[in-house]
Amino acid sequence: MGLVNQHVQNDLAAYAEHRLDPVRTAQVEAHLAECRACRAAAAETAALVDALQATPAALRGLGRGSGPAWPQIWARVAAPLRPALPPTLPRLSFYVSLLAVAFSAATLLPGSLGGRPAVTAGVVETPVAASLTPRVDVAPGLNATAAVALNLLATPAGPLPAPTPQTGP
Amino acid sequence: MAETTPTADQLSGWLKQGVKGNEAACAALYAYFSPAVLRLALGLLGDRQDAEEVAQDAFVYALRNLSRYDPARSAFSTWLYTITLSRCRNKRRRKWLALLPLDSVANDRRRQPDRLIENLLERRGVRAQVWQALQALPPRLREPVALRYLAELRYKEVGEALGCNPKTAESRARQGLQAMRATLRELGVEPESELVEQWVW
Repeated sequence: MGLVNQHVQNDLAAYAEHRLDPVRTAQVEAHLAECRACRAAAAETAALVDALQATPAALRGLGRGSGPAWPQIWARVAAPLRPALPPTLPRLSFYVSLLAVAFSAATLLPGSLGGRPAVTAGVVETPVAASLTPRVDVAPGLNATAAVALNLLATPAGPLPAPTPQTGP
Repeated sequence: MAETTPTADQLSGWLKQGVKGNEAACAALYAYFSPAVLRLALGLLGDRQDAEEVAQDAFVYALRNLSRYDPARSAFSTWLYTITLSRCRNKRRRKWLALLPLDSVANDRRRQPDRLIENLLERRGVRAQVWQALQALPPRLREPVALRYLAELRYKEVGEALGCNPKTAESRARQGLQAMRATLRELGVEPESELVEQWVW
């Protein structure tokens, strides 16, 4: 029988743990009866598997000497479940929103930017914005609508000057 | 703390209550699973203090994220051991990085085996060399051996925890056992000798 002559090293752990089906168990045992090397390896593997399987029980009780861990663990588990702020206080997002509104208002006030030195505008030029004079240079980052608003606020009272006609060459 | 195996209904009840933040249910999960989690961490890290720290971290993470556990994908134990495995890898990586600037003498001192574990095993009939051989394995082989024999998982679950199929997990564990046999021979353990005594305790 050819299978008897095949080494069974790959099946030794499963054999030691009695996980092989009856047919394969019989084949392995037939080979072990003939092969001294595999027999030695099988004995070694079985001893090691026995020791490893005994290890969980041998380690029983380890870790309990270091004190009751559960209260510490539960304190850590429960910590994020508590509200971070008292319910009567507004959340951080409220203050951030408030700050954003205040900043926007301050930016749009006519006096807030009027005295600043001219800055190259980072705005998208639109036909309306281009036709308004005098023109206020605005801070980078402001969009076209904000630029229009700033220009309107900066325009002196009275009729708008007529647009300069475009003349060709 | 009780270690009696819970029924499927009990476990399911603990999980349902645990998701709602019930402390008694979470404590029951901890009581039942913590010994195996600690054993796995011990086997993977070889140091009791590190293992206890990792086991605690793994439980804190698992209990905080119970709602993310999907029973349809894996057993709770497999999910928990996967978290433990990941934490152990992180711990090992951090320790390795911490050791880099130190000289070789310091490295040798940090790599001393945890004698307490070996002494405990010896007292209970398991040869200390078995633990030493386990610790000598590279992580790639130590992980399947520890999951199989310390966490006592089936190869299907070992494969799930390692992210590979059961056959691959079994093959890696088999390689681990072969490497451990070679280490035991290097440590002077006779091939015919018993590695575990019949217990009387």
